[in-house]
Amino acid sequence: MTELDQYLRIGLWGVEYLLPSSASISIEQRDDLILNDEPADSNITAWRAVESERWPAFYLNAELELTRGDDWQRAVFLEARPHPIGLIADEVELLPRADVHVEPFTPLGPPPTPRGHLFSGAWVRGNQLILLFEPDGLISYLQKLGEAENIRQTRRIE
Amino acid sequence: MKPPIQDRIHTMIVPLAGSYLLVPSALIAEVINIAGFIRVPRSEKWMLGLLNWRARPVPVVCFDFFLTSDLPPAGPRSKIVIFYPLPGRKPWDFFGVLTSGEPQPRTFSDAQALSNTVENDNPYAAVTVKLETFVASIPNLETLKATFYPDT
Repeated sequence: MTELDQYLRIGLWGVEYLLPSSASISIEQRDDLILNDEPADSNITAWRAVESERWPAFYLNAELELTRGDDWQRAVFLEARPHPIGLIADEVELLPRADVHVEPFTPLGPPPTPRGHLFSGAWVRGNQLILLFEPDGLISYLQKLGEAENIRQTRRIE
Repeated sequence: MKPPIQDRIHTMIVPLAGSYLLVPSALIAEVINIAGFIRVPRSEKWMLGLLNWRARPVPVVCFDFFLTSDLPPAGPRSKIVIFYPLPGRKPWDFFGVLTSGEPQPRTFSDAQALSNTVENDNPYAAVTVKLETFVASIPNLETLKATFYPDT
């Protein structure tokens, strides 16, 4: 479990993003996850087994498109209903809030998820900008990927 | 007799790839050189990215897309015009517009000087006016606001 007043710096294919650590319920190492043996047939890269549940985790590239690959180390699981949902990351680092100065911005155009935009601010660090995920938007986005997976599996069974 | 100073209209002529914008100077915070901006994943085509302006993240848009549906690339003389937040928006909601060249200040003696309008059916142009050798569109801020912030 992470402390409340921290950010997670998440690396996705060479691009960094921030997430308030309060949105994450756990960060799991790759070795502690069940890897999907048939990634070509599925959106899901790995699961975390928790009692009778399996929490899915999705691997996204820098453009937040589904991707595949083995060059990742961890998964960040976000609090969501009916079960947590995970984002696979090439790397994850905890940053104290005092070290991070986030400025708000409103993404332009229609939100890409039913629960709003994916971002709500950015850390302006010198000439570099690092986007801050809006947890509700990110969860909704990942859940949409999960729904697509459910539809695909249902069709396969039919 | 010269019109009173307060009746003069201060504007900027903003060159786009295929047309011009005529923008009241009061809407513009600054004109800057193109700095690197980052892509914002899952955003609209016309949303070119986010730049660091005075330590703020500022979205940059391609206004050409609203007028012509084209997405011309930035050229060697391109600039970014930083607009103040639209009416009713949050104080940090500045936005940038990519230009094809350096915007030029232009002062009109009064509104009569802008009365030579041409037909316009583009919702992003409030009015299109004929100036000497070219036409320029005054942006429709209400349409822009509805496009930029459709959920509010």
